[in-house]
Amino acid sequence: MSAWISKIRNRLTLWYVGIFGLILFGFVCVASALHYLHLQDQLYHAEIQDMETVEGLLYFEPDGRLSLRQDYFIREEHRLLLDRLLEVLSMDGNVLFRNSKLGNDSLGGARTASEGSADFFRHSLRLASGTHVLVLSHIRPVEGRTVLIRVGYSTEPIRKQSIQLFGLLILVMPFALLAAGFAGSKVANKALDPLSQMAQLTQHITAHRLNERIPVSNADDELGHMALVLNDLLERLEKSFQQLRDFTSDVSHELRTPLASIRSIGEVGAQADYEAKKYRDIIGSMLEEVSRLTGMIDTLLTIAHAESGVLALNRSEFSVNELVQEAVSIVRVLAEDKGQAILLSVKDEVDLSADRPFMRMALVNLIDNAVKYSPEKSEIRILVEIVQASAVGDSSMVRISVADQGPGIPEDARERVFNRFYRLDESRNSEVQGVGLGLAITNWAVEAHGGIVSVSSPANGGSLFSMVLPVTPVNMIANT
Amino acid sequence: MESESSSRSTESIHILVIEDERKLASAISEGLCQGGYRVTVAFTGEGALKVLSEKHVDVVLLDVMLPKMSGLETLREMRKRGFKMPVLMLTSKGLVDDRVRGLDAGADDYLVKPFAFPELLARIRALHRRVIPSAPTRISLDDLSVDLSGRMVERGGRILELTEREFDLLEYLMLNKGTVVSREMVARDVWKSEVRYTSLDNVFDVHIARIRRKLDDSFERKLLHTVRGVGFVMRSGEE
Repeated sequence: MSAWISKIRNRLTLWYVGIFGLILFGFVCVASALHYLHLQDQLYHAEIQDMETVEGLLYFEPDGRLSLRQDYFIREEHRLLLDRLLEVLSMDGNVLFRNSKLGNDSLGGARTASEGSADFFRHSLRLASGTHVLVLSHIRPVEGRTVLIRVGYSTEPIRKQSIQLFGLLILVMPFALLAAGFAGSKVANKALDPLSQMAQLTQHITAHRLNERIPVSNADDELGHMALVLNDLLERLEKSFQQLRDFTSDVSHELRTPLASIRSIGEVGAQADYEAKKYRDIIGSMLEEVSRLTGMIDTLLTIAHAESGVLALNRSEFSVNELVQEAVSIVRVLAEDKGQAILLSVKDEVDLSADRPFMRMALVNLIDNAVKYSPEKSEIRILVEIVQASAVGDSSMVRISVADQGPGIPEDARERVFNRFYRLDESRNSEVQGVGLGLAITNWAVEAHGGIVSVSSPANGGSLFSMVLPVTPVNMIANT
Repeated sequence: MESESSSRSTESIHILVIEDERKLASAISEGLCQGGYRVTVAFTGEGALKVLSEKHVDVVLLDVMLPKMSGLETLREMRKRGFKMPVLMLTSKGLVDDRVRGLDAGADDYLVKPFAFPELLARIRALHRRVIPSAPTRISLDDLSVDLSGRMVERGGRILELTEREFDLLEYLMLNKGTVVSREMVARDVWKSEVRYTSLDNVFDVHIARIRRKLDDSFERKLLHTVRGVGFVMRSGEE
């Protein structure tokens, strides 16, 4: 039962039937009541006619008793009048006449103040015998004496009739409800069937079949919209699963290199007898690889956290100029070692709202990259300027570009340069330290701030990396 | 479930290491003993509480991930029982959440695994010292003298010309003279960078090479040493 009720379609039907039943019941009650009132009204009009007839038939006998002319009842239809209850009172309250039907009962006892004074007075009462009657009172003179005439009809017949009607309608109700329930469940099924179809389809889509999609029959209705939303979700899931797979394979591949070194160094060291200094060297060498591994894992975790949105940006307002100068001062020693010159030109002074440590890291990586891949005694030019971007709202953007005189980056590799572990020339890499995460970190940091990093190769050679950042934060969803 | 390692002096600081990973526990224990500390190792939270009730402990090193009674539970229980000694938490996750929860539970500091040993020593020193001694204005080592307020470096009566950054690095090394300073510590304390990354590593190496050239090249006795794979240290001895 609880399983049955837990289904939306069944609950819907139940609600439908319940509400329908309530409305129907109300309707039956009102109809019966109206019917009763209508019959009572008819009775009232009949009583008025009777009253007028009775008034014409009353007379005082010589001995002073009030009587009803009997000769009138010869005609059959007038016999009906005998069904009425009749009582005549004198104005001082004495009973002058009661018909046989009424017997010893009283039609309301002594006269109340307002009774019969104005036209016909209508009221309901209950006789001693228990019958409900509708009574009409009228004051009028009979042969010179003013009397109060009361005519009453039992309301029992019309009451019965109304109850019968009520009962009949109630009797029909279950059938109506059954029909409503049937119709309701049909409608609910029709509405919900596509949903269960969708659920079935979705159930079939597992982690390995994320490329499947739910067919959208009508994109405009609610269910079509739902299917679109689900498809969108699937797409994002597929993308992140793919990312995860790439990540895992990248990582296992990249971690193997230092692990292999550690293993070889350790194995070789363990096999022969060396002097203490040599052992220290071996351990040191292993530790260096461990340190490389640790650094790699840290960086990867940072990227992973960032991509999953766990890492929150800690924004503050700072001068871009100062940040660039700081980054340059950090990397300058590396450039000096290679006899390179870093030329910084600030075209516009800009204050930026961003996570300063991350932006510093992004910038250091970018400049370090330029130093690493540029020949000795070359120049690295850094330019800070404001650019107006129409693409992202109408807030102004700041562009920081780093131009080097290195070999440049082939066009087909420009997209992938920012990918994790991507290194251009594998053969040349052995002499250049790094694990191919620097630009990935830079890319992530800039994108997290709603900016873009790109690389191009100017006509005069080298490569030009530039990051464009919105000066004020833009609300955007990262990783779209 | 516990073991105590002897130490050089009986008055030395007693450290309780709570770590279930036995290899790591014994490495830490060995390293701390070398540093002149007295060490007791407990592999579980329950065992640690037993040690605490029996012996005086100065500093506690607590792993967050413990079997049965977790590190945080152990910490709360410790604090409930009124043990007020400083606690250094070892966490393997770098998530901020974990750190905050540890500090909330009553930890005094935390260190993320894998950590550099010099860093661990530095943290323990800082924890035990509690009150930071007033910063010296002049530190000397052998015939080297560094004037911190005047930012002057002198060796053997000769004044050495250092750039600002070189001085910062040397000052940091001198403040920690005799103990090895890891790259992580340099990145954090001298370059004020929360993360250590390859670009920075290269920068350290260049600076260290330059300081060494100015400081040691023309002298017989070398003061700035690189402990391969571990870090840098200022000391006058051999090695």
